[in-house]
Amino acid sequence: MEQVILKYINEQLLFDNEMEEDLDSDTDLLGSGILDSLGMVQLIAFVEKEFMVKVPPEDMVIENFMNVDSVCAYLLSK
Amino acid sequence: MDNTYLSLTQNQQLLWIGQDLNPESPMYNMIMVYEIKDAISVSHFKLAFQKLVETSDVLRSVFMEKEGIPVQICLSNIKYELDVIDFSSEEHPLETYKTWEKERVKFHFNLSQCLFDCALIKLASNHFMWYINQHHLITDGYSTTILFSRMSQLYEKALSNTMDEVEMFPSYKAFLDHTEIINEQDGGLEAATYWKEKQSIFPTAPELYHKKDTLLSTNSKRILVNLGMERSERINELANAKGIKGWSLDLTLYNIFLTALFAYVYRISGQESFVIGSPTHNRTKKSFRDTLGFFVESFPIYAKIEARETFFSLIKKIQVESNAFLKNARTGASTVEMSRAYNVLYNYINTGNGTCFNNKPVCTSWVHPGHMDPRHHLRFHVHDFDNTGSIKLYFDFNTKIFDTDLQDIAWRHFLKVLDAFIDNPNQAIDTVSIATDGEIAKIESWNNTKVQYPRNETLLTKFEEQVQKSPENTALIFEGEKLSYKDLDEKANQVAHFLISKGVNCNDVIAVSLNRSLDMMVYIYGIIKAGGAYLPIDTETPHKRLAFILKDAGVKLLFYNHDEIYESITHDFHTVSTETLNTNLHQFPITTPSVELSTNDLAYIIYTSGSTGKPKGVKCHHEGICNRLHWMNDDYPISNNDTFIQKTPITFDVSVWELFWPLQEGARLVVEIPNGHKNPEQLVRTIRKHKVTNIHFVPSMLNVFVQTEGIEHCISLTRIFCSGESLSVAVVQKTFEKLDVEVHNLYGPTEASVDVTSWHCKKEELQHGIPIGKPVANTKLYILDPALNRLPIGVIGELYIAGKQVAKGYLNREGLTKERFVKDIFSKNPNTTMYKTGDLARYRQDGAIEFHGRLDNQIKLRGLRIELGEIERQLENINGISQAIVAVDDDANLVAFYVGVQVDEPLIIKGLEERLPEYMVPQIYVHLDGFELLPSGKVDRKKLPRTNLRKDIEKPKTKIPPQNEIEEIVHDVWVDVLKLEVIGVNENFIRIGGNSLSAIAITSRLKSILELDMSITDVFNYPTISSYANNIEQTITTLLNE
Repeated sequence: MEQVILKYINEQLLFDNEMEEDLDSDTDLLGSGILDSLGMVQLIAFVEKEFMVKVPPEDMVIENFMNVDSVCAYLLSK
Repeated sequence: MDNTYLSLTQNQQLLWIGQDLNPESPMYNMIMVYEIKDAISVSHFKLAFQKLVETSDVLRSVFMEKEGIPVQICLSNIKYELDVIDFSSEEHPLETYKTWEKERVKFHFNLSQCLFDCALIKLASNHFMWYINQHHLITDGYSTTILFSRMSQLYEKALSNTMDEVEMFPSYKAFLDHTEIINEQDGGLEAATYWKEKQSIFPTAPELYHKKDTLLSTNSKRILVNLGMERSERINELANAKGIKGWSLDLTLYNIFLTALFAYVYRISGQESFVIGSPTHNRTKKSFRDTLGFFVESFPIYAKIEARETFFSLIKKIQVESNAFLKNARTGASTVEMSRAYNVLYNYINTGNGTCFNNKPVCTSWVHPGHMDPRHHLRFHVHDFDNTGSIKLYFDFNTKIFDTDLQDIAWRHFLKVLDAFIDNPNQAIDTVSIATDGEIAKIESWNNTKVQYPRNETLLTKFEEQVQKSPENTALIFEGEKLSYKDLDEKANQVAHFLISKGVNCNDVIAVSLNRSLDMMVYIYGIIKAGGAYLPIDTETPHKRLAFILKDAGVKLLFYNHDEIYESITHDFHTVSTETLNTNLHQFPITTPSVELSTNDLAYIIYTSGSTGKPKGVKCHHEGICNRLHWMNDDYPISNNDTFIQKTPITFDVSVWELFWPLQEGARLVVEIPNGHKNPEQLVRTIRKHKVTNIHFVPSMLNVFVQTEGIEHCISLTRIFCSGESLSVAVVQKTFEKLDVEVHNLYGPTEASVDVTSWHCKKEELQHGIPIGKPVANTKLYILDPALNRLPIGVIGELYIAGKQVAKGYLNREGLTKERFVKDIFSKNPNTTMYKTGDLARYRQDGAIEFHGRLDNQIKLRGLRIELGEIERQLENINGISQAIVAVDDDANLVAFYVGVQVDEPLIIKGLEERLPEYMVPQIYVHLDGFELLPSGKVDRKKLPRTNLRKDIEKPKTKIPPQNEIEEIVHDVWVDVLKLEVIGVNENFIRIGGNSLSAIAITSRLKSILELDMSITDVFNYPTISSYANNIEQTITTLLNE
């Protein structure tokens, strides 16, 4: 799960080409400006499709999408 | 995408149509100006710009129509001029530039030639302006940022002579392809479903400052508001607060400003639920981030503001909504219908520029061309282009909705809301005071009504002085009889002495159930002279109600002069027949009794119907009514040459000034015979016989009166006073047609001594409507929100009255008194009260107050607040309709009843649709010969017909088929484009589902069938097959005649 998500972000969403470090499962996705809000929703759309879950707007909060780890934790809790 | 015709994206199509609808308007000019503090090398700049054009396909794109369909094509070479202008030798280079810019921004693009306009302006050797204007079809906010940094790089490369390394920009065509793929796949289906569902709950767009959505022009005004460092920092702190902080600072700021905007629009429109449009940048793929072009697409965001909603609770909703918005704002998912749901657009610009051009600091401005899409009444942009840390706001105001005064005030209202949010997110939105200090000062000045009138006067002080001045003059006339001032005074004194002999003291209540007669006057005056308060009772009052009132008011004694009095009443209460007493009155002295009355003692008590069904007595004191009469005499001077008519039933407080004012000034008072007030012919007779100069009418009755035969002979009339109902322009116009009189509109509740505002209706001002006017002497009026904050000028709220005329409350109704007579929080004196009228009103810019109906006459239909009175006023503006009443039937239909000439229903609907939002246009129209009136002269709403309404609405509307050849051609095209089977020739294009896109299709098809040059606007200007065909016919005729 973690790898799938990381791969997607790396290939589809990473806008900042000059990122110095590699993307990790604990990299802060939002705080470090890796994803903007539209990118974040794209990520959500992706996980919804990939893992057959529904993320209601209420669940779209920072705690669940801070980094790839928290995304996995959230998805497992579903 | 070189040299091939490409179709337009959904958004581009919308812009194309918008431009086509307003062909001359520069509303889609996107002008960026970069102020560069550097010695720019013009030749290198030119080289760089040339390279920019060469490497960006959108800058070489042009637009045209091919077979009625708009297309875009990217030329391999485009002819353009880069203007180089030198203002450095001018005396004031910057000002010269500003003047130049003001004109230049209106540049009209020929879409088939070139869609940008670029200039480099030299203000000093090291001070340049780079001006670049692009048509919105090829750019958006994000795109301008890319373009700027690209240009900066190119300029550096030009300077270092390394231009060869420059690559092409990614092509816009990739986005077109991407959009097409999405449209073809059902990837957008989920989003489309979401929006379709969402759309079903979208209410009508809010009326900002209650301004109607009429056809607007594209003229608009941009106002820049810099929030400043301190406020911006506080906003950033707020953005970090628990519960407010979102995924990213930008998203949080987006939500904060959107919350404030929702709260603001709610407060200035009064509408609780509505949508605001907002663009999303749509650059969802990595490569799009570097692509120039028009990507943005706007979607609606919905919110409902509940009672006691706080900023915090609203932002929680907004967070969820904006998440759903982001999730479903898919390329191509927006529709024309969705964009019609909002008239407020919110644009959060999170793209700061590089702030440097060739490493020199730059100051960026987005210059407004003075025009914008007329669908938007307000556009609100948040940005910090130059990354200064100080957030800036642009307010783009449509000038039809926001006049110059409002433009300057509206943004201050927004700031009030925003600041309240920053100060305390837990504050209820309803409690924020949004009026500005300037507005409050204005309102204070309108309330500055202080006039010093004689102290210690009671209702009859001036009358008694008049008796001394002209004892033998005629005071009263009733049928064949007359009474002089002296006679009236002496008889009233005798009545007073009788009452005193019965132990009547100050503030004791004496009821009068008296038919109009000389006795009625004598006894009422006598009661006052004895120090009592008179309580008028309708002679036809049912037994139970009469008994209730007599008991409730603790009536000492009841005078009556008719046979309708019930035995049980005479048995249970102390009642006196005036007929009997008259024979004994001679026993009592004719001298004025000595009574110690204070101005705060009660003068009269009038019962008004309560909403619970139980009538309530209003305690009116001498000072209040004396103030009212003094004011009236100041504003409308009268003399002993004037004759008044007493026709208002004494149970209505209007009668109080009829009874007392004329005789304070030596005038004559004609007492109309019982029921004469309901008989217009009788009134005409009385007026002509006695040369009546002043008269009062309830508007409904005035409407009947001015249509009476012989009315034009009432030439003695100089003044007509109206009150009791809202006065319509139509009635006043009719009055002016028949009579050469002044018409005065007065307003006030019984609870504030008859009237508290007045307005002189002048012929030349009638087109602005008839307000209730300005406060009378020693009276302050407040228009407040539910939290008792003063509302801004132009915003509707509840009217409160303070000042000398406010009554002492309700008799024996402490609870209700406390509820309606509240502490005057604006007064320094802690003991003064203000009366809560339950009436809706607002200030006009000139300080006159407009009446907007009763708070409890506001109905809610499908979640929208509707003021029935507003529909009624608009109906009365329609030619032929003299008076209208609107009601709601059991099936939640709006039913319009009207009198006057019977008007064709489509004509009425057309007239209303021009002035009212669709949801306020009634479904059913009933023409009546006349309305049944209440004793007061007002319309009796309970007696409106109820039958057969259901049947009427089920009556199928017949579709009229085409009547001639041209109608047939038009019909066939409409049917085909709109995918309907039949369209009646009088059906409205919009109502049957037409939109701008179908208008394009219709126009292009008809253009080729008829070989005529037609504009898309025609479909909107002539929205029925019949009118559209008629227009074509006329065009053809004109062509043939040439």
